[in-house]
Amino acid sequence: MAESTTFDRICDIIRENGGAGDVELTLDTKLADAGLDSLSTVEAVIACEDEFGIEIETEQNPATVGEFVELVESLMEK
Amino acid sequence: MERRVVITGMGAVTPVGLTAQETWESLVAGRPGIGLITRFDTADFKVKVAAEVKGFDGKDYEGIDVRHQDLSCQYALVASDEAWKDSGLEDDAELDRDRVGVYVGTGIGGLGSYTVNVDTMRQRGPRRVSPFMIPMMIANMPAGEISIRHHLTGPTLPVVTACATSAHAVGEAFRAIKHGYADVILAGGTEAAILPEAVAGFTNCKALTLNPDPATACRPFDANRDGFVMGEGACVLVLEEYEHAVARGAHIVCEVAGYGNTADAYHITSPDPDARGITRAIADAVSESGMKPEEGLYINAHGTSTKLNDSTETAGFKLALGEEAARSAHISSTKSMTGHMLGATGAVEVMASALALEHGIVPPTIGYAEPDPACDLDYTPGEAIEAELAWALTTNLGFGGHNAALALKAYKGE
Repeated sequence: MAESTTFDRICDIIRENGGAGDVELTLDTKLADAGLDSLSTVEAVIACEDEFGIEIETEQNPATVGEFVELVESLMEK
Repeated sequence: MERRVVITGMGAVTPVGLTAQETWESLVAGRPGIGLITRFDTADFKVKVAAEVKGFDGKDYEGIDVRHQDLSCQYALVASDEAWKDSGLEDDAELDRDRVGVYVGTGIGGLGSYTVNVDTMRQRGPRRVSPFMIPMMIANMPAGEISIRHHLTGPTLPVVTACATSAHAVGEAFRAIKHGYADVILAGGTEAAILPEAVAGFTNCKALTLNPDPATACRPFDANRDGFVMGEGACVLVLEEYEHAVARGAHIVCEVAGYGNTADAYHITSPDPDARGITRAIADAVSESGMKPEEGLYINAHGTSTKLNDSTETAGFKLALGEEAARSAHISSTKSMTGHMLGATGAVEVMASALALEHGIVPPTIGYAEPDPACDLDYTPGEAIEAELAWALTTNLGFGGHNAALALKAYKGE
């Protein structure tokens, strides 16, 4: 359940930052395919920091929605 | 290699219209775009009026990203779309896009995007500054975005010369085509600086009128003028090599025939009172055009409605053209309606002049009531007039001492 909640919240953030459009988001969806370029991904990462109360190193730009979820969850466990 | 250059497309977003056509109709009708500032609360401000673009929402246009494009960039993209479509080049499968350039500048750039991020930085620290802050604020981004949008891969040159920006952009585009570096260039400028910070800054420069009455705030060449009114918007023109335009059966509005670019080297905000810089710019444009000053001339003046600009410019017209030719010219300041669109103003005034030549109509200077002995030429007060026009001059002067003059020739089918 925890995973799906994080997933849903991250999908919302991706949509709020101009991603997704008509694409259905799954754990395997590449952020680039969801319409997020490198700058928009940084924007979504910053929004996640606020949403989850964590700090994410910008070098760790995730490539897929699944990687994004893993990254956020690993930081939340710390 | 010297080639002729013509205008074959126009697009505009202005305080008097959201298209080139709507803008022209307002200018001919003498419809003012100046009103009380609505973008922010002016309670603490001495300046109360501006010429705001009305009814514009980037979301109404396809492909505009309102979150990631500064308003100045949105205006430029919308104007460039209109100009591109108007030129007919949009549908030209033969077009060599390596030969199509973009010379679109801005006086101030994405100031609104910058100030939002300054607030964020102060309140929430550097980590929260948007990754889009730099691309949204830098002054070359409208040119970059236009080239990306229409896949135009020729030369780009985002000019930044304050209020002379888009006149210089058109002039440099004219030269690049004339001398063979491109066949087509989208040239113009954009501005979206009706923001508290910019209004405060211009107010303290003593540049803006403190007159709170929209009907009399901007009165170029009038004895009681006392400062300019900030405007905003964008204008993009399609400049094209003459044979290229003829070969594809394009609609030719007029010819661009001469250009002058000089510096005052005098003061950062005041024009040289002896008008030496603007006089040389006008003389260079006239000389390159080969036109006779006394024959059928319309001058779209910079005419900002500041004390110094309008008298300096008047002196410049007399010095460059000769007293008699200056007296016989039809002059007007369309800023009396559009306000001062800063980086966009030069291109809007080239557009107004081009349409004046095409239709034989001189748009008026509105708000003009009391003559000033230092401004004693024919400023077409109050109402548009019909006139036999052979050519036109536009003049623009910018902070930094930048001067621009452009000469346009009426196009009569050859």
